[in-house]
Amino acid sequence: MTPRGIGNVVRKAAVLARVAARHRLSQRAAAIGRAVTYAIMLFVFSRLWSVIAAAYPGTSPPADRVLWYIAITEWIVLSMPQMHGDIQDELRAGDLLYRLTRPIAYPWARLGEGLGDLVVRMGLLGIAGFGFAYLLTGTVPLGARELAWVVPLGVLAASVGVVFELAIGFTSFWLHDCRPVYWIWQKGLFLLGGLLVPLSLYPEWLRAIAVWSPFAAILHGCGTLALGEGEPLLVGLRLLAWFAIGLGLVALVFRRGLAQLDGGGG
Amino acid sequence: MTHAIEIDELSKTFTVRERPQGRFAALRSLWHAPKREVIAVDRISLRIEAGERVAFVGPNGAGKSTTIKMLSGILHPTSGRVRVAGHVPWQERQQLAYRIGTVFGQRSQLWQHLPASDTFDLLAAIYDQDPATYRARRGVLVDAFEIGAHLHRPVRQLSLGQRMRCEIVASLLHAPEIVFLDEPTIGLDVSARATIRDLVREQAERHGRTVLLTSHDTGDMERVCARVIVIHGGRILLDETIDALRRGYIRRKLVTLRTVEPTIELALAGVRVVKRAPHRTDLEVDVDITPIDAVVQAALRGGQLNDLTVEDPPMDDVVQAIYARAEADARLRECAS
Amino acid sequence: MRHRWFGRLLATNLAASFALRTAFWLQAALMALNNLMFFCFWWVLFTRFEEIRGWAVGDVAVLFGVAAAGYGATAVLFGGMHDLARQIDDGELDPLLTQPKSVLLQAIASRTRPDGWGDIVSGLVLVGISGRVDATTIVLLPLAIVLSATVYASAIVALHCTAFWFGRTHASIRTLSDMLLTFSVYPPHLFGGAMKVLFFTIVPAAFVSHLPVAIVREFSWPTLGLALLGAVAYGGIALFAFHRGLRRYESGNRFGVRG
Repeated sequence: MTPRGIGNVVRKAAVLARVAARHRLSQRAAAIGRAVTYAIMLFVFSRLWSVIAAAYPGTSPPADRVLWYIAITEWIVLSMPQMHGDIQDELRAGDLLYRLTRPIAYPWARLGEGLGDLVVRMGLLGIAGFGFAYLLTGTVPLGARELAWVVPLGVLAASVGVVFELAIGFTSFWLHDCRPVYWIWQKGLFLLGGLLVPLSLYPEWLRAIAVWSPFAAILHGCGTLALGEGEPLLVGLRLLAWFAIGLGLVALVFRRGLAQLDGGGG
Repeated sequence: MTHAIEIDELSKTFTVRERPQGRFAALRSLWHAPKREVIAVDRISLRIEAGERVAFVGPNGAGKSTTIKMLSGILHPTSGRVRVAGHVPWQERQQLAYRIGTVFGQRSQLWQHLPASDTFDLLAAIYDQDPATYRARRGVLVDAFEIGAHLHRPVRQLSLGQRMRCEIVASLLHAPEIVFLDEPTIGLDVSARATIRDLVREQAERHGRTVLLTSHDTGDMERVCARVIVIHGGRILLDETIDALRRGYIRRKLVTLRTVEPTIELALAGVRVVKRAPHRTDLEVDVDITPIDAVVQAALRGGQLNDLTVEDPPMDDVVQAIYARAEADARLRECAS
Repeated sequence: MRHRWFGRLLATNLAASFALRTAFWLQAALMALNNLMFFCFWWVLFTRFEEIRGWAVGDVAVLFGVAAAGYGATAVLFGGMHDLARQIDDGELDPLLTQPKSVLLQAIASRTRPDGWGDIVSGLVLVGISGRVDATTIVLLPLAIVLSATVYASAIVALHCTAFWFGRTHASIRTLSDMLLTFSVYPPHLFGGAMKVLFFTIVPAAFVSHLPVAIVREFSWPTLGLALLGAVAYGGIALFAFHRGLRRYESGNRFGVRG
């Protein structure tokens, strides 16, 4: 891949991203539904952590920071588009083969679309989340520096999620149904990524396992910005590393998948 | 004698919400959604005897499906009186249900993820059928409609033709007196349609069932039914037997001449050239103006004939002509008012 | 004997879902796993904070377990319930109207969802390991589950009935259904008075889980009475909403559709 080649890919992916973004804006009802779900989750957890803080005064992290933590992790999770199902459907319907004739490799085209979708969702949900979190806690415990980092890191984190989801979608080359794989991934994300509870509160042995997973990089990493213990650069570097690994995985799975598709006889 | 179906001044008006157009349309629709009244069925009256096979024919939107829905209890009318097997459909829906069978071409009453045989068993339970009677009847119907081989696959895996035959069997399992078929052959290919038409007619004749069939396919009408009701714009345009319809409306014949010469000219009143091709001329003859033998003689004089055919126009054309006339009348009335 | 058909329909649906073996086990297992993973959150929390306002991990387990088992029961028996709005909007009730049995029952029992079994099993397991139920109170468990399932099913049906008037509003219906489920699995005492009012009315989480669980943990006749009242009331609301909606459906003035 020459620099110009990469530039081409990026440019084309960007166009696809724009198209996807426009489409996303037109699906307001689903977006509102997501925002409401977001609000309810934050509300429930603000209540939970207020109660905990009252019962255990002086726990660390303090309740309002935990709520902002959850606001960030939920923001990332709710924004990720579910692409594995579409990929599987396209593969089954044979549409995928037609898309191979387009002048951009299928995975990167899909990635472009996913990212476009993602950015719009994050924009809308981000505003909603910021508002809800502020309403519920009355403060913004993130400093200016953290605030500046939250958006790019959050987008990067969600992008890593999207990349891995692509890979999961491509397992449908082999699997009858890739959805169970996605489910397991999602539960892993919730549990090992520390969706609802910061990893620092986990039992030590579980935490030790979790930090090695991409899940922790995706959710917990960004969440730590709210806890005041995050090192943005480190978080960013970890995310970039997982992004690269994810891209490699996608390329590998896709190529292998195509090969076995031909071999299997269409 | 009570009729199987009695309809008096039946009307149905729908209130359709219109979506406002133009700028800020979405906002405006919040407080002002203009309504429009659509008259789907306009004071129709008719009587159908037990055992009759009647076709409701009309273009899309004519009101046929709406009428059938009112007769089967799915829709209640805006005004008018209906009795089906002595019951008022939308008021005595459950009692009526035991005595009617319905097939909706665009909606299935089979459970899609189950094999047809399971649906049949379920319907037997729903219609409180005696097991022995049900099994006997089912055996006969499955043989007649030749669906034995398809009974054990999930319905959604069947082809449309196979599915429709299963639907019709399902509707007949409880031996209903009256059968409503709403577009039963829609989407089917020619041979599938022919099969279903013949089967339906045969079943109806053998058991003396009353059949009410709606379709915009005149072939259904011709093969299954003896009486035709043409509906257009919610009104009955025509209510005749098939024979009377043919006799009354076929004043045209289609004549095809194949000639040795590349072309042939016939200057006769009432004769219109429909198509010209080398050595072939298609004519449409209004036999009220020029009888067929005059046309034949003129053709023999005008050139050397290799072949000559005289045909009735397809029933489709007849019906189209009826609609066209109705539309023209409607437009005249509009202009006059 | 008039309702023999319902048993028949249920048996047939179950047989069909069991016949697709791999799909059945996969969906059931994944759902069970799903619930247990969610419950892990609570487990993690409670290893850090032993009890929260008098509630320990066992209390949350029994709350979640009863709600899950009730939800699972509705998914198995009335799997078509979550599809009701679509059936209404697509006119799929037409064939049901020409048949001599209850349209509502046929519509919601039109299918069974295998993942419901996962909910039932994981729910029962959680109740079992909660340590909040003993030999005497365990007999009340089926009753609690039935009450929970009845109210949940009624609330969902009533919600879907809005489709008779407003057409396909799937996103809203999904969001509100999720909201009911969410509030049914979190300890009620986290929330203040205003929310309590909500839980006894618009979002009947009290009748879906809080009261049924209370019956199992510490039986009292007033609690039972209130729970029964709720089940009857919500059942009535669902039937009424459907009946009214069906009248409107039969008028043909459904949103945007013409005969």
